[in-house]
Amino acid sequence: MKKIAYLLIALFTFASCEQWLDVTPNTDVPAKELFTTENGFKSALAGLYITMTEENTYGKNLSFGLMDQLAQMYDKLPDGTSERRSIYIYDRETSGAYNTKGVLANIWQAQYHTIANTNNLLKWWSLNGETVLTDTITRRMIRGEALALRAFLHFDLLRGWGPMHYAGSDEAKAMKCMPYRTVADHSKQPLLSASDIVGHIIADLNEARECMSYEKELDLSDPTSDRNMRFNYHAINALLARVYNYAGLQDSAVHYAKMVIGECGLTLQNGNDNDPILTKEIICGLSMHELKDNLSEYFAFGDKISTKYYLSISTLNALFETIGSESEDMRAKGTAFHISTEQQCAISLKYIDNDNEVVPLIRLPEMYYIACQSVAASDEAATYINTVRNKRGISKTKDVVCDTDEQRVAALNREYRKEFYAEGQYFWFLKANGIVGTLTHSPEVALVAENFVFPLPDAEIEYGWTEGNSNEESEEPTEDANAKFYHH
Amino acid sequence: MQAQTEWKERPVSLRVSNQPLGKVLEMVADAAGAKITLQGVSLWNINKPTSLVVKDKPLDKVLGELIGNQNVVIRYEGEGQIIVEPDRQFASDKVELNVSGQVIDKATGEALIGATVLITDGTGKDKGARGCITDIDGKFSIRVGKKESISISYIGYEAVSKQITKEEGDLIIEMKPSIELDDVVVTGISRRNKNSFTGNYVEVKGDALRKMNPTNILKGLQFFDPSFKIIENNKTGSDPNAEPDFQIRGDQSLGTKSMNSMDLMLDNVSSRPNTPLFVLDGFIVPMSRILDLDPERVETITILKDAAATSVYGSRAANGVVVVETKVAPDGDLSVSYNGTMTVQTPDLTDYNMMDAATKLDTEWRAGLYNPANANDMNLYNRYRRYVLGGVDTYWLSKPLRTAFQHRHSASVSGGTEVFRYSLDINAAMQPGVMKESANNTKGVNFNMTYMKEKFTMRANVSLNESNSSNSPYGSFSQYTRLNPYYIPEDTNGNQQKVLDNNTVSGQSTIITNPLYDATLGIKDLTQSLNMTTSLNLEYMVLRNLRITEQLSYTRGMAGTDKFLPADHTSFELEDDLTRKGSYFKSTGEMASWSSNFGINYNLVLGKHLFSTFANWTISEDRNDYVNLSATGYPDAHMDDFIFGNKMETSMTNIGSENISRSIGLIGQFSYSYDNRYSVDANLSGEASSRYAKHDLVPFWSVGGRWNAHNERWLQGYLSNLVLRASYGVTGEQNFSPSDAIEYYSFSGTMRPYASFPVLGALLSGLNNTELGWAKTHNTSLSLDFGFWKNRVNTTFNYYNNITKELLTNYDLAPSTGYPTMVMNAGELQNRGFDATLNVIAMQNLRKEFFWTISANANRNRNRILKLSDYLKKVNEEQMKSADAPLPQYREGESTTTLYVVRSLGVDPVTGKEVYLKRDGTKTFVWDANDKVPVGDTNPLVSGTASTSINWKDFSCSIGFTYKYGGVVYNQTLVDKIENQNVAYNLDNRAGQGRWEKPGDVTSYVGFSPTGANTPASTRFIMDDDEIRLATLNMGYRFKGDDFKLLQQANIDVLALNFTTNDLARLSRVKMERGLDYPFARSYTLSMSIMFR
Repeated sequence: MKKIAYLLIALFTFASCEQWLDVTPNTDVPAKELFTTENGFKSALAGLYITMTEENTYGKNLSFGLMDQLAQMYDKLPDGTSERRSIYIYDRETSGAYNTKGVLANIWQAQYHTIANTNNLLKWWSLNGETVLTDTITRRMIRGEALALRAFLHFDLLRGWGPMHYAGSDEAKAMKCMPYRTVADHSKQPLLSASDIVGHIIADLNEARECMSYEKELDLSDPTSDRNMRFNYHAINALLARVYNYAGLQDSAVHYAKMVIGECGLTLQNGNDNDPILTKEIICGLSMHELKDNLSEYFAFGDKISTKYYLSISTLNALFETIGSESEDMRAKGTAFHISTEQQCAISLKYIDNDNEVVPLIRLPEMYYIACQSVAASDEAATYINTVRNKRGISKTKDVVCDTDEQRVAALNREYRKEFYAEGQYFWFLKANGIVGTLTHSPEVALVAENFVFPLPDAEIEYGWTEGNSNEESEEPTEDANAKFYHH
Repeated sequence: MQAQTEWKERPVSLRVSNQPLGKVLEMVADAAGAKITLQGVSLWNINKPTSLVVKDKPLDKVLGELIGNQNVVIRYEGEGQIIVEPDRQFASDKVELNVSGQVIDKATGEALIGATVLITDGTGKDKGARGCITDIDGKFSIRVGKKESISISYIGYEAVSKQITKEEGDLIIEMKPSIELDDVVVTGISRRNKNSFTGNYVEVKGDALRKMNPTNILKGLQFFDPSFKIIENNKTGSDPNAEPDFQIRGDQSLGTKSMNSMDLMLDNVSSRPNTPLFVLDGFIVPMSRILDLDPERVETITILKDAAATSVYGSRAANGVVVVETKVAPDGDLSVSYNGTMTVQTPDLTDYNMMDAATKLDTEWRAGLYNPANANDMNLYNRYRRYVLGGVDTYWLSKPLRTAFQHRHSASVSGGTEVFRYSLDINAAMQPGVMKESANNTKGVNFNMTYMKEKFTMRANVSLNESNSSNSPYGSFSQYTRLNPYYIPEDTNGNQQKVLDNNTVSGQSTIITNPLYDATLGIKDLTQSLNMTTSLNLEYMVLRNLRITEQLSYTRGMAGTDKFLPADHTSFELEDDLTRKGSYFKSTGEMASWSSNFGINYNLVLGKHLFSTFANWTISEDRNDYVNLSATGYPDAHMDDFIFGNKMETSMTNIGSENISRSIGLIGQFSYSYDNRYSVDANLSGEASSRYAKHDLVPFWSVGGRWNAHNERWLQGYLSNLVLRASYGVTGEQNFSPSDAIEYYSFSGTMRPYASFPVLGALLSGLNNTELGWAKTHNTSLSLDFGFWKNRVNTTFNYYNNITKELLTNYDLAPSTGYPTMVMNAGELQNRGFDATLNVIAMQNLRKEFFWTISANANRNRNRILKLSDYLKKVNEEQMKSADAPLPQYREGESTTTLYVVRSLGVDPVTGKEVYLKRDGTKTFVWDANDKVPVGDTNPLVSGTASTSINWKDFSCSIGFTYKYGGVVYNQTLVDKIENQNVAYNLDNRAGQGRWEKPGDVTSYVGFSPTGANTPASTRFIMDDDEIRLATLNMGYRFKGDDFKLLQQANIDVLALNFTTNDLARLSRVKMERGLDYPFARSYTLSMSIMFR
């Protein structure tokens, strides 16, 4: 008996315990285990895209939700608001108002949540990528996509929390607006100037482009490929075009926009039957599982319309100029909208009639618009915008002219609004170009420049590296020239 | 001669199990109306446990068989004298000496009847073979071989030995009381001697607990330990399906971790923040297992309170430990017993004071709800008035209630030999609650066997328990307290109406639905659980003072809930979409856990020095998983299965959980005691757990000392008991999820396919804190036990100071890190206080078997937050803003249960508005959250119990009160049903009175407003929460089979009847509605226990 006792003790010495205690629930995997297989890396990458389809980001608020409410694309006021103005009063927290500030704080949190995951994936890529990802293409793809995502997510934060009309002034470029995070940890990071952020974004995109260069020949129109559901080589080029256009670097913007138009394989469509979102023009989009079930409540129509995401027929007509001059525009027709003459309203079909379950992030026409805005020659500019208009059904006789810069912007202003209805791009267009007061309901709102710059979340001011709240071990950030841009 | 023959053949009927032979002989003689005397004789096997079953057998035959072939003669003399003496024919060759004498108690000098006198050869080998027993005068006579010894033993006394060298005529043997057999403290892991244990504990026998509360033994515990508190839940009242909350010595952690019911059912022991740890027969179990345990099976409950007592449980001991031991199989022949309880529960509505129909309508009228100039208003008013005049006065409160009859049965069969014993218990309890169709039913089977041979003991236990509970389809009781009494629930055909009223009085329409209608629909709200536990205890005595033990246990369980509401349910009244009308929620889960304890125990006695060491090695694994499903669209009440749903809820969050955790622990214990006067204890335990990033052993420890001052010579004679104890130690508690410490990727939030990925997505579950460690409670404890008047007066006084450091709290991060919080060790909490108990045997008469005892106890606990994390400070700010009922708030220097409200100066007689006191002392009409100040603690200053009981022969009765004093409460009723009333609903009777109406009225309530005032929380509604409650009243009688012919005929040995009422009356300074979602109940229980012959 004694011997058995000794044997028992000897058997279970603590040497073997370390391993025995290393257990985890099935739904949770320790990072050091996950990144020992190629599938683990793919799971971590897939997680990034999936989390981007959630409500706080591109699954609602950064696409058709808050962004298009701010752009006044819908006639009904958001829940809890009694006047349209209240959604622009970001810092008011009175009960009953639409808590825009809270929604913005959620967007901020959600974007950085995905960024933290991207950074952690990149960390493990550096640690294990060489040994685990033996296939060169996969190895380059994972790093390329992760870098592109990091740039993309930061860029949308910049468009929100950054200055109005970035390209317009040096003051705007110098505005301290947000951190650019490259590490997933709990450290505080300083707010960087908008131009620094742009620099980081371009650097990340250039490296991503380098990584993805193996798929230069990719044809996005190939129906067997679903590369357009993720960041691909052309999507990186398109994003570069978008960023350079934002930054006012016109030559580079045109260069990349033309490159995408020429190389991506997609063509502008002239019909939107059963495909109002125009899947065949999507350079990069997100695949949302059961999109129709998830989004039907926002775009549902029936005997009684209960959604707030609708337009009255009169607004539809005004917005799409359907009465008279441009009535042939397919973007305002029954293929794009459910139009109820009885209830006098129209509801977009983009997320109802969407068999591919896709939320677009970058679509081909934007490249034409960027080219139109940035190209030097005015007749060339007009060609780009009119190509899209003609494809949409507007006859050549109604082609617009782009002789002056004002004409270009005015024409683009109308086209962005029509083309990207319920896609969340219009507000960014207005902000990037410093256009105030052209919104549908704008006299009622008296939209002013400050309302285009989102306020920092309270928690970021309190716990982040902001004024008077720096990281102990690092030096204070340099003097904040543009504080007024983000304080309300 | 003839007569003598008859008497020795007198028939004897007797049933004895496992009594010493000597005792059995006496009983046989007694049964025949005779006396037996052993004269100068020693009998073999006098001390051997003997069982006897005879019926109408002649006396001489019985005695002959019992004594067997020994060298004695049995003489039957006149007047029933049986004399056993040596048979001279076979007198031994050895020199035998005649020894006779008397056995007495050393202290009192009383003769000890039935003491065993054994002859031993001095080597101890022959012990227990031959001997005799003392007679009614404590006398004995025996023949002993020269140089042999006699050893005298008696239960409760230390054995005495004496070598016999010469004939003795009247030897006086003095015996002194000993440490009783059961004089050990059961800590669940080891057994410790009570006289040297330095820890603070309270031990209670199952019988005593069952008297206090026959249906819930934990509720009776407060009568024995004032620091063990039941947290009364004013919402769940006497709901048989609500899990009560208990607490020992205050809150040890901050924040509330609300758990879902599946976690509770599936054994997530460590996740409830302030609940003590429960240990059943040596194994840690979830509280639900203790609550479902048949009360009849409980042998003892031990509450371990300070570090010296609990540190063996190391990381999980911070909240105290409750150790439950169940009965072991008794030895002896087959015995059968039955226990049954019948409880009648009646709802206690004394705290509700609702208006009747006429008063309600009158109040509405006086409040100006109906404008006489408005035709619509008057139509409405007249309609109600017609009802009232027609005699409509619906008493809604009684509609969902009933008198509940609960019954519980358990049958037990046990028996065996000295070597092998077994018992089998079967029990079932049907416990309906006072709300109609709510019930909690349990069934269980338990098999227990013990094998003991020489140095080896094995105990095995298998138990299977099932519990089925259903919640009332009548829904929350609060619905009924709101309905106006002038509504008629049934339509003209006698069916329940779905909508009672569409109240549009106050400008906005309120649809008032009939909850009674819902009850007719066939709602399902069920919970089931089943678990099987097996355990095996092995014990081996390697040497006389070295023992090794091994305990193994394995538990497997399942649980499930079903909640079904058909489309017709009133909660879907406003839903148009048919596929969303009707809902079903289903969850199922499983758990499995095993553990092994290996222990070594070594004792060494060197003169007056007693050393004892103990080492234990524990290893355990827990797994559980569950899945939640919900679907909508159930058009018909008959389609009451999940599968009939129209669509599944697509939300993938909170779909379930899967957990596994493992831990390894080491315990070392050393104790030393000198001369039964001074003892010291040291405990060291370490635990490594898979929940932490680092798998190092984390040490927890304690040291304790004890002085049995009453054993000092200079104190003897003054006091019967004086013990001082002191201890200090560190214990821990784990209360967070694994991902807080380890870098995890989780699939649970992203389990959706994504085009072009062959795999599922995973996300980082959180920013892990690799530095995370256990929260530690530093526990100082001092105690004094004091007894005098031959221990008839006993008091204990304990002081404690527990400081919990490095509390696990959420720490805020900049959101740009991607995660809002991270768990860190921050914050400090102190619990300081004392508990005192007094037990007095006020009267005792041993001869008449009369005892009268009085007990009282008190506890005072002061809880104070010493340090807070930023996160909690922010939670405070949020909670501060609330104008509704005060929410829990945490502030440094205050208690976790302090109420913060704005001070009120009452209602201004001129304006009728409430006047508030600002923080700077100025007066204002404006309520401002910033003026909130701490106004009191909801925890009472002192609380405890007082009880008294009388035992007279077979009759017993006891009465027990609980009290609390010095706490405050926010009277929600005053706010909700009087001032913030919505007149669409029924009101408290007080709502119509004492209201401000015109300038000059001095009142406590602001003026009546038809739309309901919006009174924010102020001191006007804070009341002193002092209470006395008649918690227990008990009466019992034991009917002995020997005394009652009827019982004899039914083959019943003992029949015990007990009648208990619980929560019969309550006296409180606060008039407030109690039992909001489920009413409180009074209960009357009759319990019966039968032992068959």
